[in-house]
Amino acid sequence: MTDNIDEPEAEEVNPPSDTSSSADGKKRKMYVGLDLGTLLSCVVTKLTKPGSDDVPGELIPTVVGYPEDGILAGILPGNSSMLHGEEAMANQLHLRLVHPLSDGVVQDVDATKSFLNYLREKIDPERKREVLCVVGIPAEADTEAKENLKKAATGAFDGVLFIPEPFLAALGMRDEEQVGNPDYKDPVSNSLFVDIGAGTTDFCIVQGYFPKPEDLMSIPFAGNEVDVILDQAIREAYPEVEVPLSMIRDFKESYSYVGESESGVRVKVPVEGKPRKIEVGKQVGGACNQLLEEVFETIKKVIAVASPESVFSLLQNIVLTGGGSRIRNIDQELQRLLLDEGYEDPEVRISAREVKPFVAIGAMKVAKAAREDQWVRL
Amino acid sequence: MSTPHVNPLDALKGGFRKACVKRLVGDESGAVEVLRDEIPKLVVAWAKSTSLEAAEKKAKLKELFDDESSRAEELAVAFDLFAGRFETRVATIVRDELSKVAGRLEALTGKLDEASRQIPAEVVSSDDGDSNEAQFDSAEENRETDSEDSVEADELDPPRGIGLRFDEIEQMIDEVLETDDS
Repeated sequence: MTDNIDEPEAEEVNPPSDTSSSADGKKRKMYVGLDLGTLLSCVVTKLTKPGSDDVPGELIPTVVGYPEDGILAGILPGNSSMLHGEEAMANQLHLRLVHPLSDGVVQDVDATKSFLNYLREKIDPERKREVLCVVGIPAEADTEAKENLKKAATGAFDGVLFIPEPFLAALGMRDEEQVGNPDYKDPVSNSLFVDIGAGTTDFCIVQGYFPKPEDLMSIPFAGNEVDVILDQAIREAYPEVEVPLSMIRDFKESYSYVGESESGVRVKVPVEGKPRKIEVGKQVGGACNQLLEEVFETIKKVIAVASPESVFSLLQNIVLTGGGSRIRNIDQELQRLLLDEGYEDPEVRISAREVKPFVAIGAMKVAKAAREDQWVRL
Repeated sequence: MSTPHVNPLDALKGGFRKACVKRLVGDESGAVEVLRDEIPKLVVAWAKSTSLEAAEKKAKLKELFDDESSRAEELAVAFDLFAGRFETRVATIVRDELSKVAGRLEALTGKLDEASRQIPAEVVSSDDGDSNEAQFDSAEENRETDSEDSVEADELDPPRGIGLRFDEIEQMIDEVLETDDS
């Protein structure tokens, strides 16, 4: 179960199994950084070495599966009463899938609690450690959202800290070892981060300091909306075809692009049990272009409130992150739109081709830096 | 101002405005130069060109100086708003400068009063007490407005994020926890 989890750092969290408690009887601490996403979560228990290309952490679908009534014994692994993550996805035919979060905040406390306990089992199956977890939360999360998350985390972790995701993303992107290097371009010195997730797209101006609320903007238009638009477009083009949302999501993740409409994307779908190939290039591009348009319009609003003295250099540091940044050509098209709109020399780049879990990495950095008295004990 | 065909009133307004602007941008010596060398002549030229009674001339002069002071104030406000997102240090400097401008405007009105005394007696009566009082009031108003604008600028633009750098993680956590508690 824990094969994909990085080995925790030896000095803090990975003592020999028979010494998981210190001499005074206290449990050893284990620090965890968690990006609790609407569709995907990422757990980091170890930071990679500076300069390493290794991607720390494990991505886990944020989903809980409850068995359908009357399911036969032996169908589900271990006759589980509940499955989570990849196991739930693999057995979705027999499960009622529940996404514990919506737009980045808890919508089902029980399901979230179950999911977090599942994560705990993965990182500390014997529950021998004192697990202290920093969890990224949307910048605009209100008191109720935090309370719900706290309730859900109770029992799963021993202590938590809820930190706004833009803080963590910026921290996660930063390579502290390189800060003194004159050739290193510190991504947090003056940048506009655009994090295109599943539930929301978040915009954040970062200028060397942890951003204030006014520097943040979030729109409820992201990957999930693209799925919905793509679903509608395919239904309109092929009324006889019934494609499940999971398949729609696969089409998007495999073929997404922005810009001029393209054809040649032929996908196999079931029609009355028989395979049929349909062309979805235009539909995929149309759905992704709507996301691009929303991102572009919001970027204009964010730029409008940026400091006049820094806005020109800010325009040359627009950084796309999150799953949506993997849409083909999205950086080039966004840059073109900004240029056409009259902005001077805009430069848009992708934070990393392989999507690194910056929020979870940042959360891990916070976990390691937090004072003992700062943890919220559960 | 140097063009002989310009209306003397407009020339006087332009000259005073020029002095204000020079002060606003920090050119103190330029402002003093204008006030010393140009304004008295312009006041005399205007006084000669108008058929107003002495009291009316005085009132008109006061109105003119008040108007131009207000314009300078508006310019200062606009300047302040644009500076709204500057770094704290710069914003502080701007505010200090604006406060100084308000103080200097008071001194300016004194100099103008002195200039008005150079006008022939038949043109302007020498009711300096009222004039000074009115100008002092005007300067006080300017100072009050300046103070309000400074507060507004602070509210509009708390600069530099939450004021903590990315290596100040502990302090950031404190800030987040404090926000949660409030």
